[in-house]
This record gives sequence, C-alpha cells and structure tokens, in this order.
Amino acid sequence: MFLLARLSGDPAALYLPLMAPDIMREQFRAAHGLDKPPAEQIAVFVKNAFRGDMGDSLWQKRPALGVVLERLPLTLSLACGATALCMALALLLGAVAALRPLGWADRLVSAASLVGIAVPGFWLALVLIMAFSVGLRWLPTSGMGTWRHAVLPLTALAWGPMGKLAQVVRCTLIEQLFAPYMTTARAKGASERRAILNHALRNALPAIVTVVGKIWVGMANGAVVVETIYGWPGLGKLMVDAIERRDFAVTQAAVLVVAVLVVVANLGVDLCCAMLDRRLMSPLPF
Amino acid sequence: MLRGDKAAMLALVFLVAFGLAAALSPIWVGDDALELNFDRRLSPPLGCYIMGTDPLGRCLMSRVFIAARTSLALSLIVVALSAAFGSTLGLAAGYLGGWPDALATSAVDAAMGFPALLLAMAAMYILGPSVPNMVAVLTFSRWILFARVARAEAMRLKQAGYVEASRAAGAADGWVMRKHVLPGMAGVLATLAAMEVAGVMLSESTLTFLGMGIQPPDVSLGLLVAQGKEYMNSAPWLVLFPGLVVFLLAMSFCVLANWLAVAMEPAQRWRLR
Repeated sequence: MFLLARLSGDPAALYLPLMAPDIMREQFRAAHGLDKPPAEQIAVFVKNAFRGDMGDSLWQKRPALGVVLERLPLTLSLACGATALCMALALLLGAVAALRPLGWADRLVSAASLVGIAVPGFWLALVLIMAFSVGLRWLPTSGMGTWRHAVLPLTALAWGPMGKLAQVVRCTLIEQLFAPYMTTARAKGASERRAILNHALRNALPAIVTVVGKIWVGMANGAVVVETIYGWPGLGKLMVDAIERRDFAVTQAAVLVVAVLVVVANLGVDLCCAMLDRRLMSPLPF
Repeated sequence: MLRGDKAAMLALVFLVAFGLAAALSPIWVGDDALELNFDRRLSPPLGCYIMGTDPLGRCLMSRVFIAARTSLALSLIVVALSAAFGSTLGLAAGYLGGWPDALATSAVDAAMGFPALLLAMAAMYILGPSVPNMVAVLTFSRWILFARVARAEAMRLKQAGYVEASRAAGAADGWVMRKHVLPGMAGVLATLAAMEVAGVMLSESTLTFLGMGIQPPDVSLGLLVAQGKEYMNSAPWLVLFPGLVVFLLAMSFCVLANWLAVAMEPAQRWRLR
C-alpha cells in the first residue's frame, strides 16, 4: 500500500503551482520527508505509526489519523445499521423459507436473495434515489442530518449482503431440520415453529455468525460506493477523495484503520463462534 | 438435463442471445451509436429508439450493446485468467502439501485480509485506467477464491481411492494431478467460474462507475451509468437501462451457476429429472 501510494505520482507536482521553481519543490519534498529513499521512508513510517503518528495530511494540513478517526464514526454507524438491518431481515426471511422447503415462500426468498447478489450496488443506490427522492419526493437525495437521510444509504448497503445471508440462513436451517435432536424436540411435542426457532437456529448460529463477519468486512467495499453516491461524509468517501488528491498520509491511515477493524472483526467472529459452540473452546493453546 | 431447470434454460437462452448480439454489435449497430444528432437528444424510450437517446442524440440501445461487449469480454477474460492461475496454484498446494502449501496459504491469507474493491481502486488509480490494466488488477484480486477452493478440493480428492490406486501404481505427481484430481474438481470449479463472471462484471462496473476503470472513448456498462447519472432527473432511462443489463447478465450467470452446481454433482443429478 505504501509503495503503491508512492508510485502514483509526485505530490509536489500536484500541490505546488505549475510555475514553482525547482528549489521550492525540493523544500516541499524535504518538509514532508519525500526526498529520502523509499526504504528509509517506510522505516520512518513504521516507527511513527507505533506511536500513533501517521504523518500530516498534505491536503488538510492536520494529523492524518485525526482526519480519519473523525470520519470513522459516520461509517461505523452506517455499517452497523446496515449489518443489523441485514441480519434481522435475513434471519426472518431465511427462517420463513426453511419452514417449508420448496414452498412458495422459499421460492420467493430464494429469488429475492438472487436479486440481492446480482444487483449492482451503485445502480441500486441510484434507482432508489430516482424512485423515492426524485419520483415520490419522500426522502432527501443526499447528505446527512435527520433519520430520513439514512434510510436510502442503509437500504442500498444492506440489500446485497442480505441476499447472501438469507440464503445461508436457509441452507444451514434446512440442514439442521433433519438432525437427530430435531426429532427429539418434535417427539417431545414442540411445535415445528418452536423446534426451528429454539433448536435449529441455535445450532445454525456459528455458520451464520461467520458469514456476518464476512459481510461486515465487505461493508468497507459497499461503503465506498454508497457514501460516494449519497454524499455521506464517512471513511469511504474520504478514501476516494484522498486517493484522488494523492494525500498519502490519509490514504495510509485509512487503510491501516480498515485493516485493524477487519482483524478485530475476525477476532470477534472467532470468539463468538467459540462462545456459541463450546466444543471449540476445549483445546485452548494457552 | 438442462430441460429439468426452467430458470437455467431461460438464463442460458438469454445469455447466448445477448452475448451473440453484443459480440456482433460492431457489424449490425451501424452509425446510431456514434453519430451525433442534436435534434433528437434525450428523447425518451419507446419512441423512435427503444431505449431512448443520450444527451448527444446517440441511440442508447446501440451503445448498451457495444458497452456490454466490452464488459462481457473483460469479465470472461478475467475469469479465465484467474481460474487458470488460481486453480493451478491451489491444486498444487493442496495435493503436494508441505512448504508449497504453506507458502500459497500464507499468500492467500494475506490477500484475503483487505477489502478487494479498495485495493483494486488504489491499484487502478496508480496504473492508470485502461482495459489491460483493468484485466490485470481484477485478475490479481480474484484468483484467491479459485486457489482456496482448488486447494480444499485437492486435499479432499487426495484421499480418494482412485487417486491412491494411481499413485500406488507408480504414477508421477504431475500425471495424477492432471488425469485424476483435476477432472474430479472440474464441476466445482465450473460452478465457481460462472459465479465469478457475475462477480467480476459487478466489480468492473463498480470501479468504472467510481471513475477508476474504463474511460472514454471505450465504453462499458458501468461507464454508461456514470455518464447517465448527470441526467438522472431529466432522463432516468440513461441510468436505468445500462444498470438493468448488468443486473440481468449477472443474474443469468448466477442462475446458471446454481444449475451447474447440481448438474456437475452425480449424486445430485436426480433433481433435474
């Protein structure tokens, strides 16, 4: 990432006037440490990163980490909201579909999730704007502020992953339906609905949580598109802007923050799975 | 066997018809896609032109077919390249084990850690937007899935009786992999490839839409949507139709993948009768 950003062109050429004399360019590079060999730049970067210093943003003249962290809550709230929406809908639809495999509800859910997988996110976002903002005038086209601003971004962000998750919920539930413990539950007089919700769903949870973790990581991709279209000033939009402005410090800080979030999310998923399935806990290496 | 699944049949017919029309579009489209005509700019669909015209008076349908040709060709090439590279690596890693496996696994794990779109975006920005760069960047971000699946399948098939028999008979590793392990995983890989064509098409159009993919004078479906976005209020068809085509193509490949998953698995084939 570091090398990629350095290769993208000389920021001195972008931030100084076209007619700037060479001496000014040299001063600019020296001030931002860009005149040193790449290996030394990386060493300095790593050393400073451990102290929480990611360098200054070339564009905003402020510490890059501050710029990134200030945008982070906006993206996090969007991603959390979309994940929650997506989980709630997917669990509901998946459970309804699994109640009667190959019934009409199942077919409908399968079709809806196929649409979710195949629909291009940016197009869905635009169509939602055209339908609900331009056509019906119910919701604002972009920006943020009231809850009405969040409806369309959340929908656009949640739809695709919802399709995938509903399909996973359905498949794992149907697999569980024929497990011996389900026969026991039915023999004890539990209704089919109760057997599915209390017994099958509980056993299907580890698989579902794993997929939710993947979806959470994928939200970083989706957020870039959705934030750009809806003018939501979060991390995704910041990253697009920073790449376009060759603002290395901000790009690096943003990627590092995303990477840390991904690692934390994966750890969280593993811990959740271990909590849900005690068998995974036994051979602890420490 | 395809007759057992109406949705897959429909998807295949659509893909073949649309693919042929798009592939041959330079022959039949003529001047409508290029000729500027300001008398008929932004004319709505279902008038003289089925999908209407763009701000320069060009027939949108002709442009959609030409754009779909680029998008389809690009997706197929990317999937062919990443399938060839990824599955070879995964096959070798899974079958051989040991240090080749450790090396390949750590490479895959490192690549999995990042959101693919962000990385592709940065790479496209640096390399400069062009069709060959797009193919390279997308291939680079897509081979991982093939490598993972091929590795898992190779590890499974390595245990199979016929593979052991062949090895016991003194066959070399290369021969066993080519003649016994690869055919055994062909069905799974074909299913994955069909899914990936849809995935690559979506990635390509997303990158292009964000301005980091294909640039004019080349056209792709994502670019048409991006250009139409400026006229979203006055001419919604400019966004609607190109995106709809991406959606229909991606969906057809997904449906076909679902069918392949069943048809390529002898134990599941009864479902199609």
